[in-house]
Amino acid sequence: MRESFHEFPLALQNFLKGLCLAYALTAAWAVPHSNLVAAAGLVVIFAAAALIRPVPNPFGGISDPGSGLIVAAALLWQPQDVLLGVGIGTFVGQLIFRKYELWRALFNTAGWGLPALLAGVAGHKAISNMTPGLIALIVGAVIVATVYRVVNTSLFAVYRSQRWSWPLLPHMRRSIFSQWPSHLLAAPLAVVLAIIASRTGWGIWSGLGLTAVYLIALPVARQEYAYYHRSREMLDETVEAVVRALEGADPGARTHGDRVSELAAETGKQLSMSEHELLALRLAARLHDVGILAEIDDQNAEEHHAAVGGRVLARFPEPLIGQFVRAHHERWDGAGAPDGLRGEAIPLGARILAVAEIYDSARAGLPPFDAPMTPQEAARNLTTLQGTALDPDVVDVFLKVAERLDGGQDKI
Amino acid sequence: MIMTGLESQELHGRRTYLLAIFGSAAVIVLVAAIRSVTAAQLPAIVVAAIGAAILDRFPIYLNPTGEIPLGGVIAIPTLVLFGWQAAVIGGTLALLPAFLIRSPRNLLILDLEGLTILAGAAMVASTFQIPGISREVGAAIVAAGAATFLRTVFAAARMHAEENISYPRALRYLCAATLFHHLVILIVAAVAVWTVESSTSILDRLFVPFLAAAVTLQLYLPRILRGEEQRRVLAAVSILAAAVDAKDAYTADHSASVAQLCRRVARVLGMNEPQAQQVYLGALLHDVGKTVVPPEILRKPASLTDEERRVVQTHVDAGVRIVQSIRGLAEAAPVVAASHERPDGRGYPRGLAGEAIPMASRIILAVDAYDALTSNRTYRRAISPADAVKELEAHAGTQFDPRIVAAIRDVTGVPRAAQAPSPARAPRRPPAWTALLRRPAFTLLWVGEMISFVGDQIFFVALTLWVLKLTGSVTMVAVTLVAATVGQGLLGLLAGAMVDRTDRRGVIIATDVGRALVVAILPFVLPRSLPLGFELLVVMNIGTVFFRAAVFALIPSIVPRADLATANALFQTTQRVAEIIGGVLGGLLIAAFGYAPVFYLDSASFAASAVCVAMIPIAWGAGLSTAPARNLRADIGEGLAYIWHTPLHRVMAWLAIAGYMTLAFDALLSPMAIKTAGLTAVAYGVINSVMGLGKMLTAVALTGTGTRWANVPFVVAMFLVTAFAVVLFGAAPLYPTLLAGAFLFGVGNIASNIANATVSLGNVPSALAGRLMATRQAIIAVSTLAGMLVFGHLGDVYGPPVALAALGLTSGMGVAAVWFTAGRALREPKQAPSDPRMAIPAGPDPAMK
Repeated sequence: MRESFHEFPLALQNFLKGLCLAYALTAAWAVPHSNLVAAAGLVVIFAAAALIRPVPNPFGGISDPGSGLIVAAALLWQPQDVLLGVGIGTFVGQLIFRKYELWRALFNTAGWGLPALLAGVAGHKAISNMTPGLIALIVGAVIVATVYRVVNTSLFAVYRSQRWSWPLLPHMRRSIFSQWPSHLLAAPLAVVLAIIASRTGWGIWSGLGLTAVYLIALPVARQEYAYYHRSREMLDETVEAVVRALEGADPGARTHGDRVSELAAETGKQLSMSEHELLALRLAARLHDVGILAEIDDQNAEEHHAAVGGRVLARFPEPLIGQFVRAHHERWDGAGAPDGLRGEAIPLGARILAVAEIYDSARAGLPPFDAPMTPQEAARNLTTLQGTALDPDVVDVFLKVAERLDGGQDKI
Repeated sequence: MIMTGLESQELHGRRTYLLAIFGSAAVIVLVAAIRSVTAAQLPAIVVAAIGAAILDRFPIYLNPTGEIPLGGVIAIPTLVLFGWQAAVIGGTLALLPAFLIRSPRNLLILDLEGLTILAGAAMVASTFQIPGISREVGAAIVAAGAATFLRTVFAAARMHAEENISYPRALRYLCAATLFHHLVILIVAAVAVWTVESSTSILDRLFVPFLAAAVTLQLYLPRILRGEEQRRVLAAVSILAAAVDAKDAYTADHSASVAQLCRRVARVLGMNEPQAQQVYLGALLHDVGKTVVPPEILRKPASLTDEERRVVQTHVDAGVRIVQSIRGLAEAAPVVAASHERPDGRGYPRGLAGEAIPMASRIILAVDAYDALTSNRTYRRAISPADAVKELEAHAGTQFDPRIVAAIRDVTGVPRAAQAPSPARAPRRPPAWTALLRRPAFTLLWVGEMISFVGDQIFFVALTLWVLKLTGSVTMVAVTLVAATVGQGLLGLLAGAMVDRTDRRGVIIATDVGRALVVAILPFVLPRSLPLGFELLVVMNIGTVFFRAAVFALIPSIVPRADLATANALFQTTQRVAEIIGGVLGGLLIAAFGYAPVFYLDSASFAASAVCVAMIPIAWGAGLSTAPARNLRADIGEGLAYIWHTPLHRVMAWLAIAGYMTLAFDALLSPMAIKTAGLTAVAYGVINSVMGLGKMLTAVALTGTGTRWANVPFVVAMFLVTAFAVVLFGAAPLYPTLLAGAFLFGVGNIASNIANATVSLGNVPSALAGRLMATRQAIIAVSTLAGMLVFGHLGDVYGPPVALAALGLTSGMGVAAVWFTAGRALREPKQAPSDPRMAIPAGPDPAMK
């Protein structure tokens, strides 16, 4: 989707213009101070990097595979060479190979080039202050990766917050801290390349060759990410098929599961569960009634449907999913089933699931409720159970979430 | 490599053996490491432990199954830079947190195996160096290469054991799937070591393992994430299948077990791993449409009305729709669509026939039927696997593809029914023994036995000579030999009963590994404490007793009934050849290398035998009785009772008592040869050689002549030949007659042995085979011992020639008497009817020592 620069808010336009101006001025300073052969080589490499399409990052957001390359280049080359190479190369590559709008290519030029410069300066300064050796290079690489990511992410956070009027600081904080594993993982190969370069002392051409070697590794990683996303879709679709099977046995189960999943996940987020736990919570919520399939007949009546569900879902590699489902009919006061757990002994995810489940059953009029309730009635119902059946803290947080997601208008 | 997906309970048993093997190796390595570690290695141990504990959580995913653990990335640099002790101890410490996170079941084997691999890699790296590269980088490359080789070999063995994939196939699959990644790990490790090649800073060096780990993670993170997601998908698919199973109470976990069996059948049929995975997924999902069928129809005990049948048949299309809604599974949709079509075109919903039905669907149809037959349903009880296979075979060609039915039989370990030889093919049939050797299961057992037997012969030569050298006492040599053979008579019955209730192959492997360890530590123990050495010999002999009993009991599961006699003769041939070669070879080896290496060689031969046996492509637990276990005494009693209550076995037992008495000649022949006939020791040696030659030639001849001679009259005739030979010894104590008698004795002894074993074992249920052989061994021992006592005394009083002649006459008359009294029962009813469930054993004969 092509977007026009002129439709942006004025403040955003000015921010982008200012950024490009800053890049232009720095570049003008850099040209006389840099090794033009190296810079030209880097331009070619970074232009070629634009051939590799960005992919969604499993840790959130979009990741351009080129950013690892930038860290390697910042460690291997003088900062001014990197500024020119990254900036101009990105600009040319994105215009030619990705057919980006001019403003976007320019923004990426500045948004990648300037942080690369700063990262290079910081990294080289740190390295020159240490005794040469492996540790110096590792420290340098970590600094380069960190500085680059912080500066780069901050610039893009400013852009996004202006563009979609998100609050700047929370967004910035989240985007800097949410992806740290993939940030730091840009460094190791860069260290190895830097060591090879420093120990062989082969000069510019071999250095460019080494940087290009890194480029070759990128499409492979990208392919794996593509497989990853395909697997993720497959998981969604398979879960969907299970949910549809549930729907066949228990009409209404599907939408119920979806809503419980949405409410529970949001509550979990507010209670600062990790991404890993949230993933488990979402799946557990969507599939929490899978045990009902076994209960159609009275054959397994002695086994609680939550226990059956927990057993079936224990096949997931995450044990949390099965645990959440097994414990979602436990009560805060210890009078629940199937294990009679009490209080904090019930996994947090299961406590959230219990609250969301009761709330949504009330709203939809699913058993044990006779008729659908309004959001207010359902909320009041939860407060009566607070402290006896349900975790009081979770209910407090949940009610706020429910008010936001389900407040006022009747969705059902 | 951990196999993803559902794992059946039967793996537990197989894992136990793997655990025993790798566990003992790992403990030895670990103890050695702890005893030789230095304080300077402590920081490196901490680094290795932390690094490996982290990396353990991120194995590289392999498509479609399995993963590569990344621990080597930490271990190789640690090994090279800080010594193998650091790598081994660090790797062990890294297990501790892993135990808290993951289930210990898979982990234990993987990690114990990892330690063994590490020790092997360290050994290779310290031995070989690559010229032209710095020592450390060269060592890293060699160690990583060795680790790759060992890991591939071990992982293939594990795949073979856990997933019933033939060993070469497992090896091929692993090489194709993992060599590239191992190469990457090798390069990363070598480069990481190279970065500090010229640095003397300890701190720099401590960072190397971390650098290697970080680089690997950077390269493999996307693939690792993809693997985790794939595992979730597989779980979700199996939950979808479980949703169906849950709906029909009688098919709980039906889809899962069908899917696993389908995958194994697909592999046996030669499909590659991705194809087998497709079959697996298709099988998991083939009934998924049943979620739309009302449960009261699914569970209806009576037969269905046409209308109800039509409703049930709609489930196929519903299933296809569900499978198609999952994009990644689209390839499985045609498989599901055709999974109820029959090769004769009478299936539903489309009535496809023959090759128009995808292979995967045909597999699912047959395996589904097999699983239904072997599990309880509302309208009937489960039947045994053997009966189920028979049932499938009855419908092969119409309802089921015959190739698939054959594959199911292989996979489930149901032995082949005896096939009537087709007259058209009969003249072209190659010699039986070449056909036998083309059978991988038999060849592996045979090769393993042969290696271990040659090792044994060399070992005995070395043992007696060494004890003689250490003590200078002939008595001690005799004591040694007693210690090394005492178990035979004492434990035979017990061992027979034991191997009838445990997995025979497991017993063989376990005793091989145990004996390998004992022999390996003997060179250390013997010079230090002779009594301890004797105790170890007794332990080893107990292992041998169990080993022999298990080999006997295993053969029925491997050799077709028709080839029984040939197999038996082939084993005898190799043993005789091994006796001759082994003795000579032992002397040469001791002269060249000294005593200790010969012991190591024998240890290695046991290990090799264990590997061969582990590779035998049959189901684990094959041939075992499924009846609940009773107490051992009852089992032994059953074995004895069987012998005395069956006419054939009763006759064979009496024949053995009378015939094997001649083995007592040994005690009389040497005094007679030297004192009466006045021969030299050399001439006596020649007599023994001639007897050995007779044995060998007979065994070879019987190997090549098929099975015509494997009957009771032949046994009787051969017992009479041995009796005649012994009479000849006593009647004409001259050198030429002694030579002729020795040759005759060799011929008669070996022929009667093979025939006796073949006939006895050819007519016994496989579950009793171990006990039958043990009982027979006990009879032989008792008969020989009695002969020695009685006729030895006779020899003291009247001289050896008289005693020998009397021994021969007694034995011959005894055999004749048995044949004309008890044997009459056999001659009247022509032959016992052959029951297909009867065992078909054959094997090396215990009577030949």
